[in-house]
Amino acid sequence: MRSCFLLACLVHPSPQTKHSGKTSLLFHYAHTVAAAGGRAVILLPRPAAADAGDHHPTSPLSLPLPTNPPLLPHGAGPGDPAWARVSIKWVSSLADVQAYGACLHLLPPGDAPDAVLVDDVLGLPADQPQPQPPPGAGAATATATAAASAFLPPPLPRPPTDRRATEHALARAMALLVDGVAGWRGGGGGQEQEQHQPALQRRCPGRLVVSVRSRSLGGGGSSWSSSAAAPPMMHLVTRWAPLVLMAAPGQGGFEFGVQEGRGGSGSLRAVYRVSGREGLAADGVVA
Amino acid sequence: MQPFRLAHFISSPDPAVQAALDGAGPWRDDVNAAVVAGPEGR
Repeated sequence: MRSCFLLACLVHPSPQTKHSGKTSLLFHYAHTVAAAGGRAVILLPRPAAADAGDHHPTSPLSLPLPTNPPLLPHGAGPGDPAWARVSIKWVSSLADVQAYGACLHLLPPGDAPDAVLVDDVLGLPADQPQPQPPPGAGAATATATAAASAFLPPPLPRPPTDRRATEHALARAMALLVDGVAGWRGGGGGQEQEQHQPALQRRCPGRLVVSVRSRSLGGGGSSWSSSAAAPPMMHLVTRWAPLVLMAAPGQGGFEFGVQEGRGGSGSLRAVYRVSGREGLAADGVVA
Repeated sequence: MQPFRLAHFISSPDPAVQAALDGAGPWRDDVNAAVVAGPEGR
């Protein structure tokens, strides 16, 4: 029996507060996995500024630091040794997510992550963004292109970038991720892997977490109904998700809990605020 | 297998709040069983 699961973290940005702590929640989960002795990989959208004016793929180390870093979990400082087991992979498109999911089964047991987290998966384009020419090279490039076009065959049509293509790319990315994680967890990694799994499952039975940024609720009210503000293509994510967690603006900040219709009826919700310098911490709980 | 906790995603400096986050599973047992079973087990 495969024991892969997926949590879709649906986040509604507040009209008053631009940031809802979506990435911070993912980092908290990654820290939970790492503190239990596991390894976590967070797939983050590559900062758009890193691609502008750059023709060559950059390594993660050469990328500028995000201008809005996530808040750290309460009690976990930057020097926490658990962060050494949390890795970041920058992705530019759903094609990158597909490639990662397709190669998960190739990792040896010692390198395979215990949790894969994808941030803002619906915000990724289907294909790679086209590189921009460097400043000042536009005129010369245009002249050279015009001169050469008379001797070249017509260019091949680019892949469609409409919604249907994005839906296909998202469906493939989710299927490859789930299958890659389930394949690693479900066996095939040898005796060492099988011995490694039960302890981690007891401590933190988490595997694949995908965050989704929803449309604004427009009024600041909290809605825990299942389809009040579900973004387009959300069904392609929740098709794999036994659980859907949601963070939405509520009383005194954001409320975070299980979405109604996904086992959340009458459940507790954590109340938190995205502010301050003490990290992301819950102020209270509501039922 | 332990059920999922909200404490996996968020913690609190308040011991009472942290105990609530660490406490009983905030979701139904059948959903938690579906999580354990995975997509094939639903």
